[in-house]
Amino acid sequence: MKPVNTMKLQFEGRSVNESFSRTAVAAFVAQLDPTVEELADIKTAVSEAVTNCIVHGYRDRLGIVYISASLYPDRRIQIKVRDKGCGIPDIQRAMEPMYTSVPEEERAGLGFAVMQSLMDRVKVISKEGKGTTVTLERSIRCKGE
Amino acid sequence: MSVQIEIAEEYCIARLIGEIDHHNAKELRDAIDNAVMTGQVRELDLDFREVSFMDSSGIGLVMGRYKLMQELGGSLHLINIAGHLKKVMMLAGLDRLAILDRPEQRRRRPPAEPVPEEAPEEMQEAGNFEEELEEIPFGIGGEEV
Repeated sequence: MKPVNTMKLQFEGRSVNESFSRTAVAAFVAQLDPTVEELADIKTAVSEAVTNCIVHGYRDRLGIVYISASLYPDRRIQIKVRDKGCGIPDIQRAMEPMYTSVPEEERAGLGFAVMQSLMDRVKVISKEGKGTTVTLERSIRCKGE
Repeated sequence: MSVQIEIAEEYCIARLIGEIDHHNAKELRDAIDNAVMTGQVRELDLDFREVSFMDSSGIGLVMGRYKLMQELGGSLHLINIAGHLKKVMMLAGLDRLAILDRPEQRRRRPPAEPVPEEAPEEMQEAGNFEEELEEIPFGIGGEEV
């Protein structure tokens, strides 16, 4: 299925950009006229994915975070959040609720669990030393349905 | 993001304002912990009424304060949790800690006179908050602080 609209965003992996990026994605998704709840879900999932890039992917350096988003005719939105950071050695483990590789930062270890709860589909591709791509998918209901 | 902190005796309320994410969680944590430690607080309320967004960084913040209050032999309660925030907290299982909201009458008001020694007023941790308390109107005795 061909997307009806796409956008790309790239920015420095500074934590101040977590807010910028989730707001930018929300503004793009807004053209589907989502509910407040749908928008909050998407913002939260994007925030988790971007935070992962910054906290984990680029743990010890400043790198670029890439986001692309596509809207499909069936009101589905696909968002890819990518970093060229350290990669995840064990994706299964990283996705376990409460697991965190940085306990000293007081992270809850719930990033992936939150993404999975709020999105219809979450896909993670990662290669050590190369980076990680998280793909989030969510259908936006037609109002009145 | 900002936080307004009021302390009266061993009771402290921290009103969180704005968005809670990885970027500003540390600042909030430091402000709250500083107030708790310097004020010798044993009863901490976190008020989420003015929080417009929260991701799992907020869960980390809550869990960290929960542990801190446990270590101090005190208690933590979260108040004015609604909509999106409630969803994120529930999926993190924070409802199982029995710290979400609570009936108004259980609140200990800052005493006008010294409290007699024999009135320790144990906090009850049991109860089904779901039933008793959506949107409890909230105010503390020390409003003039």
